[in-house]
Amino acid sequence: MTAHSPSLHTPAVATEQLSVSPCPPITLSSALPRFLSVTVQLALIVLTVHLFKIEPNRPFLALMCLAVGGFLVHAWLPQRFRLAFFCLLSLASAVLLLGWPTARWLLGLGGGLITLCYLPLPWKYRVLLIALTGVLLALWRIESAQAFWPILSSMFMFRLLVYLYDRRRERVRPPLLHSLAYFFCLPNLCFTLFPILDFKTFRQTYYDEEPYTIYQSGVAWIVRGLTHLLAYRFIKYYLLPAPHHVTDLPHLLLFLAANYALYLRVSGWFHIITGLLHLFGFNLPRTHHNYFLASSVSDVWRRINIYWKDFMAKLFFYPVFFALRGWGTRLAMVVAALGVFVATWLLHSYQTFWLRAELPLTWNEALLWLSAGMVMALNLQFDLLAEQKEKKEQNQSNGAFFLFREALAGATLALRIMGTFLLVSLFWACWTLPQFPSSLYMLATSGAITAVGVWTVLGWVAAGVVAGVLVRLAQRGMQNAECRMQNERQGWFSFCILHSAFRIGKAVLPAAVLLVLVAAGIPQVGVTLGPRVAEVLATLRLEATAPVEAVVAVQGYYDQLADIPVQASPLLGMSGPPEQKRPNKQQQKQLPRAYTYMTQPADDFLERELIPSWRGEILGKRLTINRLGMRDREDITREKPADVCRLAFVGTSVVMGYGVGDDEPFPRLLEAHLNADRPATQERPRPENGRPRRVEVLNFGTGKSQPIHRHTLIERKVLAFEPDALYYVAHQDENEGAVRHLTRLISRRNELPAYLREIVQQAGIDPQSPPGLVEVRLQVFAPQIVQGIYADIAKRCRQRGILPVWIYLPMPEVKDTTLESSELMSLAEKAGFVVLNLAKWDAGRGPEAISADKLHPNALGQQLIAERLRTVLQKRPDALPACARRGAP
Amino acid sequence: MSRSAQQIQDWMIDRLSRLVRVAPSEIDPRKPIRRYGLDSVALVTFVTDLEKWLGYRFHGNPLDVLDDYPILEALAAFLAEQTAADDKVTEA
Repeated sequence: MTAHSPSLHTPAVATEQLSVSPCPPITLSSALPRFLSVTVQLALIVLTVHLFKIEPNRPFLALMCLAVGGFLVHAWLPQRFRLAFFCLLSLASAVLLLGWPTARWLLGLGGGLITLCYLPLPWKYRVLLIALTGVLLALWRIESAQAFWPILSSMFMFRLLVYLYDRRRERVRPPLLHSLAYFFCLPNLCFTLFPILDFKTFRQTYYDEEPYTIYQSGVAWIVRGLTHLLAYRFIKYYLLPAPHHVTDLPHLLLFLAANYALYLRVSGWFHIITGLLHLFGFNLPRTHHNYFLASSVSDVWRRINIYWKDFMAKLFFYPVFFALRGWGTRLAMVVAALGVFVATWLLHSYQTFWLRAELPLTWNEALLWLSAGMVMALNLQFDLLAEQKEKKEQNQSNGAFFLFREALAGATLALRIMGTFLLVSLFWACWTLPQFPSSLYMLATSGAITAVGVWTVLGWVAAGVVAGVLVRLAQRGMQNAECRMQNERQGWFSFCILHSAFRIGKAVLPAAVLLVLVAAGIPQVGVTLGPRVAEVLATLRLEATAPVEAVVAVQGYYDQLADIPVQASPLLGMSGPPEQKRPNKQQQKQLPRAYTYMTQPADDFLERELIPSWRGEILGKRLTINRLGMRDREDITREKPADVCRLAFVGTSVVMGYGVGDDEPFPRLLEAHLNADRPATQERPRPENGRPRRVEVLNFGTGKSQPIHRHTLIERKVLAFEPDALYYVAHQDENEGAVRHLTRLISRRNELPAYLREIVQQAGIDPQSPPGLVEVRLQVFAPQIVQGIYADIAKRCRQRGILPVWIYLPMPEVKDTTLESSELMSLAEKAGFVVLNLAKWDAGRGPEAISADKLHPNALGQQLIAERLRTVLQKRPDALPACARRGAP
Repeated sequence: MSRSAQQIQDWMIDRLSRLVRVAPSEIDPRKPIRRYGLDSVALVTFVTDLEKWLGYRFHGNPLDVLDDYPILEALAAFLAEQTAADDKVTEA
């Protein structure tokens, strides 16, 4: 027989459901109760998102409100207007959620790409044109960090490939509304990590069932997604062992499992995304299917991120397999599977490029993905063998043999699930933690694997096997009971009741879960359940403002992509990342490395310190560290000369003058101002009464400096210089740095000084607490921590007759944090500091004019700070020690 | 030897039911084949077995045919037409 091209024949059945599938007419009386039911559940969902502060760093709550509001209108619209309404809602939401400056780029560039797809040209020319546009956009992306990029990339980087592939044999162009809905779909405005929607499926499933069944299914998916996100928090805070606890086999396995389980965040998002689309009629299939229960490698591939699997199968696996099947099914399958994994590796980097403007291509990763591909190819051979075998009829007898066989099957399945889970966890750890294999080797060779540990793990395995057997027997028992009910006439009624109960349960379950979540989200409810429960619930309601230290350690590919910020519109009052010019490549390379070069490791309290007598060039400016380890002049002495009034400045790299020349940091400029303001005394020789004749401003600024570092530096170094006044310079992020540093100190089991010990005790933390939990708890105590540090510094200064002055220096590129500037100033004042506020020091100049790089002021910026400080000091003589005041004798 | 659309449909229902492990009565010939959740191995097996049984080879990627004729009933009719046409060509 000869082969025929299917495209030459007219399909017998319409392949594209271009218009919405016909739905049975719904009357007001039949729809209203179901509409109200879905609406109430959606209201509970919004309440849950609000109470648990789900995804607080992106406009998720606003998106949910828009989606629910949109649903209320959409559900009552005639069907022919619904798709247009969805498109309108998505486009309007883009403007509302992202703000016009971002939305105009998004809609403009996205609209341009869609237009190219609609040009009246042959398919291959359109593809060529879009590929060229893609190259131009990629070149732009390298240099641009504008806020629209992650969302535009997320909308088009994969979906455009699927879209073009699906349209390669098209006879009719898809209606524009379908394309707009496909690319600009509403949930994408909030989530940059997005399932790869299949264009064909997206259209074919549009209202392919009765509307309220689809809506209810959407609610169920959103609820499932929320439970995944809360489970993610629980694992992050309570199960993930601290790195220092991973010293034996059980903790290693727990670490591996918890690390893999953090993927719940991604599956949670994907469920919410598809759930939201269900509310507008897109009856999309599930994105994940109980992936922790996969029983083989190929089973994991089928259950985890199913849309990715489908995308890879459609664009890579099937075309390669069917092109090569002349080589034989088995060989073609091996080559296709390996091809899929190589493509997966490359496409993950492609995704990272578009979302983060980085291209992480390493041989280690290539090797890892190729190994995974080989395991998969092997597994597929077994699967192929199994598919080709006839499935034997199972013996349904109820004898002892049946029980034994079922128990054995349950045990085998449990072992396979545990083995697969371990294998995938290992792969996950190797992928997300590049240093993991070497840590594992060190652990394995350092005697950490003990008999006790092995027995503990074997105990877990035995428990898993027992659970597997029990579940299997219970399943079989229920199946047999169902069969009996169906077979026996008198049992038919009971069978119907059972099934009806199951159906009702399925509809009621999301509402019940939502009620429990809302109740758990109300603090007063938690209190009634006891202090322990209240504490756990309070923790789950918190999203640490910064990634927890321990989680940072296990963050990998997905977390990096998941944490890409979405710039919210100013209308929403959320602080998104400011649009900024990306430092050039040389600067990017210099920033982290240069500071490492000029510093050396110290203990956990100081962490790093400047290397005495280091000299180098940073951002084209000379940077010299003197022999005392200060960014200051070489002739400074520890002993204070008798004729000198000393002011010591402590603070961050801004104080240190990172990115400006040795004579340009503002403390140096201030010194010149102060001495210039004292011409009479400067000319005068030192009088007999010991009054100083000049002011000396010492620069103790260091990079990566947080309150505890500064406290340590003051205690160990600054006080020895006998300053007359101490100037503590703070930015907006005081509390966050302190919390993170204290978390590290606790997790490394440092003996805490008294001023910190009390706060840690108040927070109910002990050395065994996981770092995630420690940081979350400490977040609540952030103001007390900062005040404790301040109070101790001020006390020490006052005891020595040193004037403690706290300077608030807000930096344009530092994000505002949970503590307002007024609160910070109030804390410093209460602690005993004289407080100065240097807000608006930049005199309205833009970051371009005053920045050396994205974080540090340039020479002009330093000059503006110095001038502002001088002006403030002139108005506030109480912020200067008597010896430095104007007109001091 | 060409086969009727009904024969092809019956064979496909039988094979599909075994691949997705459901009773043949649960396979609806008017529903899209892909709705039954065939994974890649099962789909490849289904296509290669179908080709072997029919003695017919799809041109290029057979999934394009599945895209054009997504439901069993339509696919069976198309294949019956194809195999019959091929037989006529062979006889001539």
